[in-house]
Amino acid sequence: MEPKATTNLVQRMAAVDLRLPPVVRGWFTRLRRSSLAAPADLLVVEGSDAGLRLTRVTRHRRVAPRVRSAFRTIAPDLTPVARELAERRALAAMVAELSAAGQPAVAAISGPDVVVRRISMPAMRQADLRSALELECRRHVNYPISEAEIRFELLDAAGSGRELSVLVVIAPRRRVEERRALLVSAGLRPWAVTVPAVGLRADLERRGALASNEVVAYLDIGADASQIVVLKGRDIRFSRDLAFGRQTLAAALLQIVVPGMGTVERTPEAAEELLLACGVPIGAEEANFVDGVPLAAVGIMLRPTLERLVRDLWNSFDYCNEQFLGEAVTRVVLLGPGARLRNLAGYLGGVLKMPVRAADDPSQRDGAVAGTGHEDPSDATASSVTLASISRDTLNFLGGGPGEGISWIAEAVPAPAVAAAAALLLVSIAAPAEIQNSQARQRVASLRGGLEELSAQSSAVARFRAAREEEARLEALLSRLTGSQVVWSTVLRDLSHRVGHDVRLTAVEVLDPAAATTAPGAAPVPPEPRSLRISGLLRTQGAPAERVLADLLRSLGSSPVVDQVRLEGCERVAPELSGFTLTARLTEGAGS
Amino acid sequence: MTKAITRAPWFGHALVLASLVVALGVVNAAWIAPREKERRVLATRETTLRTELADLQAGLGEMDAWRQAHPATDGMRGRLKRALPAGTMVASLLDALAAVSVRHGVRTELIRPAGLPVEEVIPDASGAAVAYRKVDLRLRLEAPYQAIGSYLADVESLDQLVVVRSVALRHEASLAPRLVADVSLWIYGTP
Repeated sequence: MEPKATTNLVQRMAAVDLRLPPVVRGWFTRLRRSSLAAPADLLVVEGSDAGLRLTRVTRHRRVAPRVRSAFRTIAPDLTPVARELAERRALAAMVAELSAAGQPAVAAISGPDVVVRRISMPAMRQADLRSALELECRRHVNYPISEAEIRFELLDAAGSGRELSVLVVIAPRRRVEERRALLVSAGLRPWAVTVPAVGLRADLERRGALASNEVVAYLDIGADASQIVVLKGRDIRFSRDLAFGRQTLAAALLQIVVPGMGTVERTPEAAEELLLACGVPIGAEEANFVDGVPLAAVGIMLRPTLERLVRDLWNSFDYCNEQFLGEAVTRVVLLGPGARLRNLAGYLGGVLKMPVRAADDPSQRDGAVAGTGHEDPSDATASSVTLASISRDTLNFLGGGPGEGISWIAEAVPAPAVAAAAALLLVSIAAPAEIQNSQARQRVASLRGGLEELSAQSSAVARFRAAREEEARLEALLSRLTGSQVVWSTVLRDLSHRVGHDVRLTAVEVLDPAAATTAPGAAPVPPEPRSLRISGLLRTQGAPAERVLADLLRSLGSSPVVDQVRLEGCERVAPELSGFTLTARLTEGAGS
Repeated sequence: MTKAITRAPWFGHALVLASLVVALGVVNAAWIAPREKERRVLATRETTLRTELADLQAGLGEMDAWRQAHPATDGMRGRLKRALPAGTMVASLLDALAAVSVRHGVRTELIRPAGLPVEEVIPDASGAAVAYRKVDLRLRLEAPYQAIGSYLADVESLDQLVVVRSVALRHEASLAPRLVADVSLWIYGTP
């Protein structure tokens, strides 16, 4: 089967509506949601021109997350190959440092070639949407769309269902693969590769801080770069990287022109220290001095950089206004290490003429922070903590592959568990066969034992049976010779028992039956059994002779050797003596 | 595309399932089938042994029942009756009758064959025809009733093929308490 066909088959299987009962459907939904949610222990890898940062965010239920961070500088002048090697070495070292081997990891990618756009498309089936988006996205990137990874999510349908609002993120496949390879090379388990804006939205959503009815711009000011994200509810309306950061401001203070003193030069550390100490001087603060430097001069040195930032912000806000028909940005929230610069929020608020406030640092807000490396650990943790909140199925460049619909099942049920279940299944199939055979062997052994116990008597039984068979053969022979005739010794013994003390037999005579006449051609009729004519005397002793005679007839009637007992006569021959004659048929077959 | 499939989260599960299918086939061929065959052999052997045991137990039960029904008799020996050659069968019988009559105090008054010997052909147990020569011998005896009964019982248990065909008893006052018995014996011999 072709890979494409396999993919289609898996996708069709994943799309099958199973029509499950509501309870089961709810259970599946909860299981799916929990399997796609961020793991409790997640690593976030962020790269910048300055270096590579690894942050480990460990969450426990109802306990503030534990954030540990490591940073390694990467020389900015390396060739791409050398930089890749340096990143791998740096990440491996940080993974070892944080004891994070084998853990799931998220990598963030950003830059000018990573595009986040909200696009309106005609209403169509989801299966057709991907192809249509590929065509649409050609306009937004400057590299072949075949080399791009496209992920999208449907937002609320605009209009009366005739249009679809789609949030699209596009990144070069090469960069996604580089991130994946980087994670794998360091022994991490690639869990997601996405854009920071998705992490920010996930973090706000997790905290219930998403403003659904106002357009808010979030400015995440990092050490050497910033990112602006405009959100309305879950709708990411705009996302852009800015070449502005705390170090950009600090660089402006390396040389400060002080009227009357000339140019005062400072080391980078001293410049940053000065920036942290005075922030953005405003109003009366400009009359103060720090280390002999008037803050008015500091303000003058910072102003070009700040004005560039403000221009970028206005450009972004104007774009949003144009794209969303006057739904203007209503407030700005500052995030990241740069947000803590003194008076920055006030300065921007004054210039932008809208509320600007610095949000709490998510890492500082949520829990303990620890870090190593050559940079302030708290510099990185804001975006890292937000990225550690993402759901796997949200705009994940690692997702959306074949069988994505059922991947959550694979996530919910780990492969070792499936392997264990399979092994159990094999054992459950194989074991009964052996158990049944073992039981059968035991039964056979038990029967053998029983037979061996009785084997001494088996020959006696055989002899006994042989004797009985011999007798049976003799009986059969006699039966054929004489026709099952009576045994006369038995007849005499039986008669003597039945006649009693008051009867004396005087004659016993055998009557042969009359020969049956057979019609010519008819089958021969077997001869009738013989009869006995029995004569004797009854001693009545005062009793009626009838009673003695009746007793005799009853007694003979129950005999096994005669039947059909018939009285032929009875006559009194003396005062207490009567003579009788009767006949009885012998119970025998035909003789030869 | 191949790379995408191998990287899918369910790929490991698919491998496990494929391995399971293969393992099921292997287990069936290498484990289940031989045991199924052995089970059939064991079942046949068990049935045979169970039948043998039941038959042996039934035989022992028959022996016990027979001993109770026939006390003081040897169940290991069957009652045999042989057909002697026709030329010697009457003489042999008379020898036996002499001993029996003496034993029971029976006096033989008359010995007379009734008619000539006749040939009789009957099928044996296998259905084959077997020829016998039959002699009807009439005896008149004098003895008490009980002695006549015992005499006849001994004649019937002789190992010669002889049948007491009929017995007629007659009381004569002059002989009382002895009776006169007219006995008909059928003697069978081989031609």
